[in-house]
Amino acid sequence: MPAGDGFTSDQKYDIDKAIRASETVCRYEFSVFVGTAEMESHPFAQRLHAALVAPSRSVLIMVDPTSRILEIVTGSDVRRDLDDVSVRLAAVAMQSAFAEGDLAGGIIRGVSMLAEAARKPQTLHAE
Amino acid sequence: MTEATDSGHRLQAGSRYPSCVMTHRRDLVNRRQLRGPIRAGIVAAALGVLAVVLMSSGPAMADTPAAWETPPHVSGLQFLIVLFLIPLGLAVVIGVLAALPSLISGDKKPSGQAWRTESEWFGGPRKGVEAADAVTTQQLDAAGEDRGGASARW
Repeated sequence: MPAGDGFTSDQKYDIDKAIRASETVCRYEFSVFVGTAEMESHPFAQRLHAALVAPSRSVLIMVDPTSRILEIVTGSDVRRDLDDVSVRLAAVAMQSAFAEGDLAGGIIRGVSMLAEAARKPQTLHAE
Repeated sequence: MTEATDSGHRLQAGSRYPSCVMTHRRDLVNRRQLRGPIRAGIVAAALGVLAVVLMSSGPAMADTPAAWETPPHVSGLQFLIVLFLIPLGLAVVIGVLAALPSLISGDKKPSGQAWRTESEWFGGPRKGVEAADAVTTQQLDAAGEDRGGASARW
């Protein structure tokens, strides 16, 4: 499917599934916006992030296929477990998938990477 | 150590072996004796096959029968045209025909493809993008404290 034609129902289902799985993995909320940014991309992504139910515990991924821009915004609580370096790594992985024309695949991969990086290490020895 | 001999009587090693130790020297000698005739037979068979092949190919080297028509003379240019230029031309034509659909539709990677459908917001508020438009400055500031993230382009 060309990048500009929207997602197929299978792709939507896969993205939804990846989001649900990621939320289960790290206990943070994930939200993915795919569309044209109505203003400058970074402030627009921040607005989208602020509009979420619990912004501090949420990760917003904004993908603008028209301008070829990717923005990832992490809330303050999320940032404690998910540092910006890990976010950048996920962004690079998504970027390369998008460059190959695989929009859905890039989103799924990015969401999974972010969730893995945000996963708190299991405490093996409780005091 | 006394080694076992080929005498036919003492195939068993003589001394210091706690149990029966046999030698296979006799078998080796027998095999060596057999190898010579087998090898000679294989060579003879190969030469025979070669001779038959060469003899049977004799008619192929014969002259063209006089009853046959004389083939027309083919010049170097004709040879070049038939064997090289025509196949090459066909390959070019087929290649152009194969590439024609994508050339006509202009199927090349643009700098940015327009998102021709509605925006998709997975895991977003029910109102959609309108919810983002309705975000107040206080909400934005509250969400913005110690916010992180990254940006990229492709």
